[in-house]
Amino acid sequence: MNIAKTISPLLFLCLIFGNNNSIAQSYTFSGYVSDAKTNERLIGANVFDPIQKVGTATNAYGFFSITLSGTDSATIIISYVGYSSELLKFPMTTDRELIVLLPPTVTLNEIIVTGARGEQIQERSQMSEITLTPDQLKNIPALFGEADLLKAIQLLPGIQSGGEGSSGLYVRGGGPDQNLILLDGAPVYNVSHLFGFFSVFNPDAIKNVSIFTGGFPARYGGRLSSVIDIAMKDGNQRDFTVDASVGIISSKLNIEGPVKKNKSSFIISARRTYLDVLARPIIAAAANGQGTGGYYFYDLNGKINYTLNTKNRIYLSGYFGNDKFYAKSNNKYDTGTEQVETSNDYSLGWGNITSTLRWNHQFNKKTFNNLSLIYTKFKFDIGEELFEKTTDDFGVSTITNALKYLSGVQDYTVKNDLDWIPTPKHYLKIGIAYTYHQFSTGAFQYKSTIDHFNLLDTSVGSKPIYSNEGAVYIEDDWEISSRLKTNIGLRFSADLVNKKWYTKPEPRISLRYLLTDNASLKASFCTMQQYIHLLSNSGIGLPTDLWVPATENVPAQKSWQPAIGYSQSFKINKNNCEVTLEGYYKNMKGVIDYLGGADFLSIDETWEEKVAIGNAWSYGGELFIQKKTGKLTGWIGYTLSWSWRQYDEINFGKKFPYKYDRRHDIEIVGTYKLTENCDFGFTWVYGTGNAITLPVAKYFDAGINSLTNIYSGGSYNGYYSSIDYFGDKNSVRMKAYHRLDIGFNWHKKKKWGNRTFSLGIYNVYSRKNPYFYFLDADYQGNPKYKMVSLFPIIPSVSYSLHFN
Amino acid sequence: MSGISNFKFKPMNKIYIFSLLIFVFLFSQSCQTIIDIDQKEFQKRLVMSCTLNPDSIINVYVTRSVGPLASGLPLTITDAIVDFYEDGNLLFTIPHDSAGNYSYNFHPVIGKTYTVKAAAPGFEQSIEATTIIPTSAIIDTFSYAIVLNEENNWGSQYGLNGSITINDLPGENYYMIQAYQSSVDTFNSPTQINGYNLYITADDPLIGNSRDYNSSILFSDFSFDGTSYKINFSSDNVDTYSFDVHLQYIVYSLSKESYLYLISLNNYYKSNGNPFAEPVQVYSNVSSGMGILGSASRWEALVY
Repeated sequence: MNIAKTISPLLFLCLIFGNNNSIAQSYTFSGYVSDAKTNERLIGANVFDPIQKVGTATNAYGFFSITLSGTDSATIIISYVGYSSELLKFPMTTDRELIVLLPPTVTLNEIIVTGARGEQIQERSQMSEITLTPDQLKNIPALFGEADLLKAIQLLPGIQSGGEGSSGLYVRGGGPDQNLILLDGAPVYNVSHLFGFFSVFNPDAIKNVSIFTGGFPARYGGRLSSVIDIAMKDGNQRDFTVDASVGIISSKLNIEGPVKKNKSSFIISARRTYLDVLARPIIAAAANGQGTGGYYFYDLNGKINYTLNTKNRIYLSGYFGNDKFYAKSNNKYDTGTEQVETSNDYSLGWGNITSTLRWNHQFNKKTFNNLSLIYTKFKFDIGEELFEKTTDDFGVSTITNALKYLSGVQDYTVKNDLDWIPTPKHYLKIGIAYTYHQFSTGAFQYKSTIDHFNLLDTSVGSKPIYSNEGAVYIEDDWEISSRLKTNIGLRFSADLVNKKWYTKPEPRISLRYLLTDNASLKASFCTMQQYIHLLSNSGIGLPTDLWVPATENVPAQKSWQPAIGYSQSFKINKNNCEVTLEGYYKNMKGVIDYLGGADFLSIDETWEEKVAIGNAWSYGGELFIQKKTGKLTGWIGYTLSWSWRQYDEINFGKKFPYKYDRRHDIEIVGTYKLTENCDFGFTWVYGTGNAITLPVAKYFDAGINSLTNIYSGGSYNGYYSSIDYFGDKNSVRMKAYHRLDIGFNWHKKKKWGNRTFSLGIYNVYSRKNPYFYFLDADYQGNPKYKMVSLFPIIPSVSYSLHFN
Repeated sequence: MSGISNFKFKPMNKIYIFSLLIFVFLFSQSCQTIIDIDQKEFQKRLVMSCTLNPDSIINVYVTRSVGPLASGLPLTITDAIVDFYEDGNLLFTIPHDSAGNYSYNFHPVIGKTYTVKAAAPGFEQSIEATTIIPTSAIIDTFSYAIVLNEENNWGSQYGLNGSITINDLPGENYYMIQAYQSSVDTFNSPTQINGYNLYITADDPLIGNSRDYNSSILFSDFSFDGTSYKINFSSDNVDTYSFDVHLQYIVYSLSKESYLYLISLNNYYKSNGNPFAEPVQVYSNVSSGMGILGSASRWEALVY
């Protein structure tokens, strides 16, 4: 072995990271930043030395480390939005470990934040990143008054919803499968409740959300278009608190508190709809008592953590959620010779399970490690069961026939992430991850019994596919000079499926150049690789999503995306404002879509035979203006974009607009604090209509006889077929979508805590927005296109209680 | 017993579930609005259907498009001017024969390029399409075997195992194979010859893009371009009881237009009306209009 070659990289690292130490004696200040009231660790709190003008931020577990040198004393300001800042002064005599408790400045759901000087947008090397807090989420008006994380994310530039009621995210021209949505590190495959009208994330259980739409740091991978990293609350370590709310369609309960004070805490958050209970009598009446049906969903988030000592802490968190639709019908009749009872049960269900076990370990003052074991599962099933009981002179006989279609995906992941902060100018993250995927790509289960004797019990369809995905990464947030900062990294990923290897080095870089103290230019470039696909049926709005792996026949998806941007912070009447302007181009290969005529339920072909493999590209610009403090807070977002698809086997090889190609997308979101106890929120959204494929004409053609009939010596007389003419794929545009929502919150402090009464109006001017189009006849029998709209103006009320 | 014992997961059940899912929840919320989609220009266009081949005269069927919900018989065009070009030169105008059929006694030539242009009063745009008559398939060998089937769905005890070896020419080529069986019903109509195409399938991954089409095998030479390739096929249903039974193999060499058209048309019919299926665009090479101008050459052989 060439020792020189081995040592060289280490020597290089020492030279880079060790140069500060050679100049003067330096000391490291490390520790954790927590909420003084709950002891909840704070993510992204700013740790800043105003004299040396160096700083860092707490990581996802509240840990920080900053090394200072060259002076007699150290001054550190610790700040976080919504909390009073802490000014700490120490003599520079030794390394110190700190536990910093920041008292929240907010009172009852207050959203005005002053005094904190966090890292400003123009200072961050990262571009295309937005962070949301639960308070922001809760103040955005929502359908039925249900605050919704993904609906809020859809109000950000570059991120589009699929349309009315959709929880799908379409980021910079990417598909809904290209979003890495992490809940405490566990990927969540299906994020929809109620056919997409709500997302699965309960805002009461969320601590922090980071959204990346480009310039991805190397620690993230496996998806092409976005990363949504959701951190669940750890639970109050000091006191028990209970939050309860009652809404129009669901109720929520959130309990958190210490298991062992200041050492261990838990949080349990549950939500369930009661739409089924409300609808049951209506459906039963409509079915004359011979049937029933309903729909419900529930969520359960739970988390527990235990601080073993100052250097070790473990977390166990989980999410369980299910959607269930069911319809039952019963019938009885008498033929004279036999009495027959029949029942038909139909069901549709889907749900997620995630669980994460994490172990935080602080190796030393500069090195923090997290080891995670993760399990996630998504399942979808649709089925029916028919039962018949016949009574006649010979006795009783029964027949049961059942059919179920199942699909889903399960992951088992182990990963390790290490933070190393050698100097204030470098923040390294190094990690390794392995995931074992198990895909159930669509199978039918048949079962048939007569008088409890099994006639048939079998499964047909696709067999499960197993794949192994791994990745290693290293990234460095490196302050090259006072003006130039970069986040540079490399991720190397690999996937093994059916003896087929995919490997890919994925270089990433983000650059920030400070033009002035308040403005910077940014640029980024990233390459991404994705080893899974999602097959979505475009014709219906059901959660018929089928997750499938890259295989030897269907390649992995890959992309590259350059972006440039401008960021500036400024003040309006002493209130902090930010503006960002970004332009991007994204190129994607290996995207898949169903072939024309493909039916996801068909078992005549495998899923690989039903799909086309093609290319996609998108480009556009995004403007984001945000007012972060003051009585009025909120943002304006505008996206101008183009998004294209091209498959050799679809649209006869010609490019066509992506279904969610949206030329203009505008969001205006605001919250205004009317009085100390009352605030008002509003959102207005506008989006160009979706591109869809509809028959626009019909023609008659010799059809199947055009060839063989001629050889039979006949003419076309009497032989014709009717053919729908669609034009080019996605050549029809739906109407533009726009909507105004408003909401009021009245807060009142009580002896036992506080209560909030909320009143909201969804779609204030009752715009009939398109959900889907279909062909039908009008009252005169003339063919017409009809548009189905879902939600006219909908008022909502909810009542929330917070018990201290 | 009722029909429950014949339980199947029928399309109707899918629709039932689909309807329930959407409408049970949304019945009180959703509303429908008649909307106008500015696509009227597609609803009055000329349509041509024609497959040229060297063995028969020219037949061009001219109709017009209508609105997507129109019903009834085709709206045939009887006053169109249909011009016929060979290698870019106008050869003749095809006269109207009957009910939208334009016929002319001319046999196209293999390898030549033919263009058909049609215009009609009341239509703003004329239409045209072009095709090249493909070379006939070169068949090296063919074989057959009648096999005993213990179980099949056709009520027939015997099936067919057949093969055809094609000497494929370099370049893109497209084929369709049929097995045509004829017989005489000795009991009911002893003088009448009945014929039909056997339903044949090929379980061959190298022609994986083949589609069962109208009881035929439809495929391209993508996987065996320029080589000799043996295609094995089978049928579950062979008539061995009737009198004077004959089997004929037919191999059509198709133009690319015909191939794309037949493939897409087959998918269209398979999925039409299925709410779970993606919409299918039927291929057309007719500019400013709809329909198909295709071409084919035929090889056939009497097997027995």
